Amino acid sequence: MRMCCRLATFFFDDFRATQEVAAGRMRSASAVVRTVSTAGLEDFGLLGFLPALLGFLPALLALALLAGARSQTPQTLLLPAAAFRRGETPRVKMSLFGTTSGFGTSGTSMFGSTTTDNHNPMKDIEVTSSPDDSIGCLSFSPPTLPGNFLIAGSWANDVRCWEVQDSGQTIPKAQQMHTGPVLDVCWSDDGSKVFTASCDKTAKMWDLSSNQAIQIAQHDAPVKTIHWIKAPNYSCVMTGSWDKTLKFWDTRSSNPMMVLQLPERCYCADVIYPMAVVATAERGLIVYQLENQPSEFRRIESPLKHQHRCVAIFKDKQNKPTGFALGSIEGRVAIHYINPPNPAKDNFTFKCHRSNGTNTSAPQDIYAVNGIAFHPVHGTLATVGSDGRFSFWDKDARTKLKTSEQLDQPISACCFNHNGNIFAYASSYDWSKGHEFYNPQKKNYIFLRNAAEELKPRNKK
Amino acid sequence: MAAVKKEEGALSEAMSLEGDEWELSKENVQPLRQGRIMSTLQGALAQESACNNTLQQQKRAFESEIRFYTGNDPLDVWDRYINWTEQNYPQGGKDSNMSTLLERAVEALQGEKRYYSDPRFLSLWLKLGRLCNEPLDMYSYLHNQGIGVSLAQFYISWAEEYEARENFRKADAIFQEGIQQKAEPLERLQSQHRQFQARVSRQTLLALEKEEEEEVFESSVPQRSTLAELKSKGKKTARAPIIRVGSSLKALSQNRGLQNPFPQQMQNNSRITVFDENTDETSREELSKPTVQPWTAPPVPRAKENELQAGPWNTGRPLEHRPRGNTASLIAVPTMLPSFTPYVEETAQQPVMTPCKIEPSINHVLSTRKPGKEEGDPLQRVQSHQQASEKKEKMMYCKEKIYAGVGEFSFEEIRAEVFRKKLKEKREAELLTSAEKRAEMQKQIEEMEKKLKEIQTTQQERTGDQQEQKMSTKETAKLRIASESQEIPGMTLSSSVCRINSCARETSFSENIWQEQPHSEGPSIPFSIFDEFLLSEKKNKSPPAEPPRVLAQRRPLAVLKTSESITSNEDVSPDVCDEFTGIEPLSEDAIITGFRNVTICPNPEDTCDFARAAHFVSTPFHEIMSLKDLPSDPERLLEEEDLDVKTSEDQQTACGTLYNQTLSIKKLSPIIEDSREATHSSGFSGSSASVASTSSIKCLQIPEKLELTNETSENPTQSPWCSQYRRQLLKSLPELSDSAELFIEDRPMPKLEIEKEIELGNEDYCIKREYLICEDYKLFCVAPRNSAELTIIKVSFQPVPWDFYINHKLKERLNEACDHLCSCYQYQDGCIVWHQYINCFTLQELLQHSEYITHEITVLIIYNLLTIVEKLHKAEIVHGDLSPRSLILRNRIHDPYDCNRNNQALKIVDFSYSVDLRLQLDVFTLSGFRTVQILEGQKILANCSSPYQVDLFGIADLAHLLLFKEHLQVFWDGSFWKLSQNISELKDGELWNKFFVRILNVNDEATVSVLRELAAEMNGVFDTTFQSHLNKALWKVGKLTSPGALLSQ
Repeated sequence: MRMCCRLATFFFDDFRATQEVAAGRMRSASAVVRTVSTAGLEDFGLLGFLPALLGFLPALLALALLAGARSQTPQTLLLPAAAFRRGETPRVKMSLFGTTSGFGTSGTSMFGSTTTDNHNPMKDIEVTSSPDDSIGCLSFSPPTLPGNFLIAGSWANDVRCWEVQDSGQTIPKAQQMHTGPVLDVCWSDDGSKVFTASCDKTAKMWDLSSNQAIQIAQHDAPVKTIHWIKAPNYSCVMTGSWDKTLKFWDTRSSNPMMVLQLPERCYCADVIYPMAVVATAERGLIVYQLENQPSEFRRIESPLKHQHRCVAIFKDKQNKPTGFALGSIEGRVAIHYINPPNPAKDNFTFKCHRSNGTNTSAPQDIYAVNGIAFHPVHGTLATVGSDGRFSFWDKDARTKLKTSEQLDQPISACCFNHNGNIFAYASSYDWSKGHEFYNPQKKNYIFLRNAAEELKPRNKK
Repeated sequence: MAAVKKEEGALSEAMSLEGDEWELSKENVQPLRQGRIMSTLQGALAQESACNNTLQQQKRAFESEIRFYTGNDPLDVWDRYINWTEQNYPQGGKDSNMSTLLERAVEALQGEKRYYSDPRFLSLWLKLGRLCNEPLDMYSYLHNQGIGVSLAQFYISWAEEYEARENFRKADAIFQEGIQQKAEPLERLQSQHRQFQARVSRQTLLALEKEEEEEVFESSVPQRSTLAELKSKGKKTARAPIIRVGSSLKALSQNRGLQNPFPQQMQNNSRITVFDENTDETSREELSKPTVQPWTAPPVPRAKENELQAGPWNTGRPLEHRPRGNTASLIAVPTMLPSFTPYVEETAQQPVMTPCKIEPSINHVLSTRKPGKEEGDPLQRVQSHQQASEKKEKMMYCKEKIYAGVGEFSFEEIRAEVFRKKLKEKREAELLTSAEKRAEMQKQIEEMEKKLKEIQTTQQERTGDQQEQKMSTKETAKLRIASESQEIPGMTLSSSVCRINSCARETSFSENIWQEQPHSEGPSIPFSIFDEFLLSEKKNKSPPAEPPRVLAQRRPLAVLKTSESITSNEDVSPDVCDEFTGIEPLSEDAIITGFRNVTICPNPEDTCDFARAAHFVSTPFHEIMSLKDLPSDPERLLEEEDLDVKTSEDQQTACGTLYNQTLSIKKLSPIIEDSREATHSSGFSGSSASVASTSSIKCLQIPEKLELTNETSENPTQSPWCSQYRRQLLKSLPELSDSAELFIEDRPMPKLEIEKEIELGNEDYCIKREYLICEDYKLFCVAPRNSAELTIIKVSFQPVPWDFYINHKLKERLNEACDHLCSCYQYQDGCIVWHQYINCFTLQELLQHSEYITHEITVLIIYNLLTIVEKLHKAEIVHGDLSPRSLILRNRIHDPYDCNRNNQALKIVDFSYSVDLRLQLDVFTLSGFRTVQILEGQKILANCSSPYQVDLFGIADLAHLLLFKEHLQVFWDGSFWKLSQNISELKDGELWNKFFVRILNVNDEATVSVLRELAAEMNGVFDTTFQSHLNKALWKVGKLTSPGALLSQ
C-alpha cells in the first residue's frame, strides 16, 4: 500500500509538472519534441531525416533522439502529450541556459505566480518530481554528453536522473534504488555511467543507456564519498567510507585495486586528477596524488577548528588543481593551497553562513556549510549552508559576490554544470538540528539558477 | 559483593592461564584501584599488536549509544563507557581519550541534580580529578556544588589528596566534616578516619626519631622523592613536581616542615617571585579554610599559562613568559640576521609519506610525544567550555549530538544511525508478525493433523493397502508444487513484477531494433540515456490481455491438478514440473536474484526495497493496482473446497497452508532458508502421511523438492546468463557456426514425444523415455533406429547453443582432442545437444540410491570432478551450477576393466549457468550463479570475490551430498569455514577433513592450483585394493542402472 502511495506521488508530481508546463511557456517546445517523435515512429525512414531536423533545433537534440529512437507508441512523453492535445502551435522557445543573458537574475518567476511561502525566494526553476526525502548530493553530467543531465541522490534510497534542457525544463528520466540512503554520486568521464554511494555499504554503477545498475564496491560501513578517477594509465572509482578506508575499484572486479587506511571516518572528498583530497572526522585532512597510482601526498593540519563537512578542489590558471576549499560545521571555509609561495598569506579562512553581524548585541547564529562548488569557468565558488542560503565568493579578490535570500529549509547540496551556466542547489533538511526538527511532510526541492553572470569575478575587465 | 567475588574468580582463573602479554608489559598497565579484569587485560594487551577492530567497534557502539540514548539514566551509558575504557586501555594515554571522555561526561551531566548524590557520578568526577593537575580545586568545587557531599567516598578521596600533600590538618578537617554530614556509609568513613589518624601519629613519631638521629646532617635541604619526575612544569615558576605517587611519598617524607605542598594560589602576577617553599605559609593558610566562594562553574585553574595577553614583547619581560608554541616569532626577533644559512639536507624536505605507513590503530607506546599537544588541564577545558557558552555565538546545529562522546559524528552519521534503527525495528516487527502467523498456522496444522489421524485410523481398518498410501503422499507433494505457484495475498505485488518482466522479454525482439539504433547514430551521441517512462508506457500498451490470462491459468492449477492426479497415478512428477515452468516461478528469489539491480550479497532481510525498485524500473503502475483488486486468493479457494469429502483433500489443504506459510517466512530471508524450507516441508509431508510413510518415499521426494526450490532462481533478463546476451556473444564468433558439429536448422524444433522418432542430422532416433526435466532443459533417452543402444539428448528451449559453445571453447583453449562425440542442432526455438553415451546415468539418480554410494565411488566422483573443473578453470570458464543433475556417470561404470581411466568417469551435460570469463568480462555479481543461489555457499561467498570459487563450493556441496546425503552446512569458527557435520567417523575421515578445509577456505589463491593439489591428494587413494572395491561398487551400481532395473522400479 505504501508503495502505491509512493508511486502515486511520483506520478502526481508529474501531473503537476504537466499543469505547470501547460501554464508556462514551455509547452510549445515540448510539443515540437513530440511531433518529432511521432513522426519518427510512423516512418522509420524518417530517422535519417532526424539529424537535419535536429540541426534545426539544437536545443532539443537529445530529447528528440531519445523519443524518436525509443518510442513505440505515440504516447511517448507524458508532458508533451498533454500540451499537444490543447492544440498549441509548435514554436521554438529561446534558450535559458544556452546563452549568458538569462532569466532569474531579473527576479521574474518562471511560472508567474509566487505565493507567500518562501521555499523559493530566489525565484529559481524548480526541478520536477524532486526526491521524497532529503537530497544528499547533486551532480551534473560531464561535457562529453550533449545537453545537461542532473543526478540527485536522496535519503529515500533513490537516485534520480533528469534531463535539463536549455529552456530550463527538466524531464525526469530514470531512477535507481539502493537499499539505503544515497550519500554521494558521480559521473564517469564519458558520461555513460553514474556511480552511487550509499548507506547500505555498497556503491553501484548505473549504466544510463541500459538502466542497469550493478554493485561495484563493498565497505564495512556506509560509503560516504564516491569519485571517478580518470588517469592516463588507469581509471577507477574511489570510495571513501566511515569504515576508515579509502578504496579504489576497477569496476569489473569485486576486489578493490587498492585500499588506503584513513586515520578516521571519511567525511568528504574531492578529486581532480592528479589530486585528491579527503577530509575525515577528528579534523583529518589528507592530500593524495593520483599519478601512476594513488598514494598519499601529504597530511595537512586542519586550518579549521571544527568538524569538516565539505571540500572542493580548485584549479589554477593553467587548469591544474592547486588547492582546495574546506567547509566546516561552524560557518567557516578555509582556502588552502597545496604549495603556496607564501603560506601565511595565501592560505586563509573566511566566515560564512552566519546570521547577524558581530556588532549587534544578539548572539550570532552560526550554521554549517553543507556544500562548496567551484565555477568551472570563472574559478569563483559557491557555498551553501544550513541557514538556507547560498553565497557566491571570489577567493582571489577575497570578496563576497552575492548572498541569496533565506530559504525556509537548509540547502543540503549544490553543483555547477560543466560550462558553469547552471547552478543547482537542493533545498532539504540536512539533519543539522537532529531528528526532532525533521519534518517528513516538507517537500524537498532542487532549484536551478542561471549562474553565468553572477559568478563572474569582480575585478575582471 | 557477589560481583567482586566473581571478578576475583575470573582473575584467578586468568592468572592460572598466565598469558605472556601481561608478564611482558606490566609497565604499560596503569594501576587501577578496583583492579583489572584479567581476561580483559589480556585481551587488551594482546590486541595492542594486532588490529583492534573489535575494540573500535565496541567504542563505536558506545559512542552511538550515548547519542541515541532514550532511557532515563544517561549516566549509566557514560559509566559503562568509562569503565570499559579503563579496562580496555590499560596503558591509558592519548589513545584512551580518558580525560576527554570524562570531560564530556561531566559536561553532559552537569545540570542533572539527581545525580549529585549518585556514587557513579562522584566516581566520574574523582576519576577526572585524578587526571587534573590540581585536584584540590575540583574537590572544593564539588563541595560547593553539593556533588557527592553525602557520600563517604567523596571525603575519603578529598582527605587522601590532602594527605598526599602532607596537609594532615586539612585532611583531618575533611574527615570531620564528612562525619558531621553523616556521609554514607558512615562506618567506612569512620574507619578510614581512624586509619588516617594512626598513620599520621606513627609518621610524626618516626619523624621525630629520625630527626634526632640525623641532626648531624643539614636537614634543611629540600628533598625530592626518588624517581620522581624532574622535568619542570609550568613556565612561570619552573619547579619540578615532587609528588608522584601519593602513598609512596607519604613514607618518604621526613619532616613535616619540609613538605612541599603545591602552591594552590598561583597568582597571576607577572613578575617572577622565587618560590620559597618554607616561607610559603600564607598560601597554606588560605587553604585551611573550606572554600566558600560561590562557584557557578568548575574553577579556573590558577596556574594557567595561556592567560597572558599579547603585548609588545620587548618591554623587558623575560622570554620565559612567552606562551609556548610561539617559537617562530622568537626566532624572527633578532635584528641581526645571521650571515649564513643553515645547511638543510635535501632529503629532509617535506617527507612524503607512503601510503603503507599509516596504521593509526597501532599504538606506539614509546613514540615521542608531540610538543604542543596534551596541553592544559582537563579541568581547564571543562571550564573553558562553559565559558564559551556565554560567548556571543550560537551554534545553529545540534552540537551536543555531534560532539557528545569522545569522537565526533557528522549529521549524516547521526541520521544514518536513526535510519538503521528504524529499519531494524521494522524488521523486528515483521519478524514478530511472521512468527505470530507461523504459530497460528502451526495451530491449524496440528488441528488438521489430529483430524487426519482420526480419519486415517478409520480408513486403515478398511484398507491396509500400502500402494494407496504412497499415492496419497505423492499427491501432497504435487499440491505443494501447485500451491507454490500461487501466492499469499501480500505477495501479489512482487509476483506481478516478475510476470511483467517476462512480458518485457517477449517484446524484447522488437526492442532490439531500437536499441541498436542509437549506436549506429554516429559519433555525436555515444549512447542514449534510458527513459523509464518511455518503457513503462510501452509496456502499458503491449501486454494488455496478459494479466488475466496468467492468473486464470494459475488459479485452476491448484484445483485442477489435484483431480488430475487422483485419476492418473503414473508418471506424475515430470508432468507437474513441466506445467510449472510455463508459468514462471513466483517466489521472491526470482526478484532478488533475477532483478538487474544485483548486489553481491543481497541483504536477505530486505526484499521490500528490491520489490519497489523493480516496480519503478519496469512496471506500469496502475496495472499492479488492478491486479491487486482481482480476487486471487488461492488459500480461500482451497478452503472453500469441501473438507469432508476425502481424507486426501484434508491433507492437501494442510499442505497448502503450510507452504504458504513457508513462503511468508521466506519473505524475510529468501535465500538462505531455501534448503531448510525444503526439508521442513518434506518432513511434514512424511508426518502427515503418517501411518505407513516409508522412508523410500521420503527419499524420492526430497530431491524433487529441492529442484522445485531451485526453480525459483532465474530471470534471464540479467546480463551474463541472459540468452540474448549470449546470442549476441555467439554472433560475434562466426567460426563457431562453421564447426562441423553444429547444425543450424531453420525450422522449429521437432516435437519430442515418447516413442516417436526424430531426425537429428541424418539419423533417426527413437525417443525412449524422458530422463530428466528441469526448468530450462530436458534430457531424453534416445536410441538410434537400428540399435538398442541408448544415448542421451539434451533439449533446451533457448535457441542458443551455449553448451556447445562452452564445449568448443574448452577444446580450443585446452588444445585437447576431446574423445567424446557431441553434436548440436540448433532450431528456431530451441537447441538439441546429442551426447553419445550409452546408458548414461546422472548423479542425481545415484543419490536416490544412496545405499550404493560407497566410499570408493565418492572418491572417484570427486576426483573426477576436481579434474574436470580444473580444466574448465584453466580455460577461464566457470561452471556455476555443479549439481547432481548436470553430471553424468559415463561408461566407466559398466567397464570395470578400464581401471586406468579413472579420470573419465564423469561428464558435465549442462552448462547453462556457465560463464566464459574471457569474454564475459563484466561478470561481477556471484549471486547469479546457481550454486550460489542454493547453497550455504552464500554465506561463504558473501565475502569472497572470485567467480571461480563458486565452483569450488559446488564441488564441496556435491562431496557433502555424496557423503552425508544432504547439502553442505558450514560454520565459521573464527578463522576457517568448517563443516557442521562430524567428518571423522567416515572412512578416510582425515582425507575428507583436509579436503573440506582446503576447498572451503581458498581465499585468494588460484583455484586451478588448488584443484590440482586436491586432485593429487585424491589420486593417492587409488591403489589396487581400492580398485577392487571400486569395481565391486560400480558393478552394483551398474546393475541398478541397467535398463531392466530401471523399468522394474
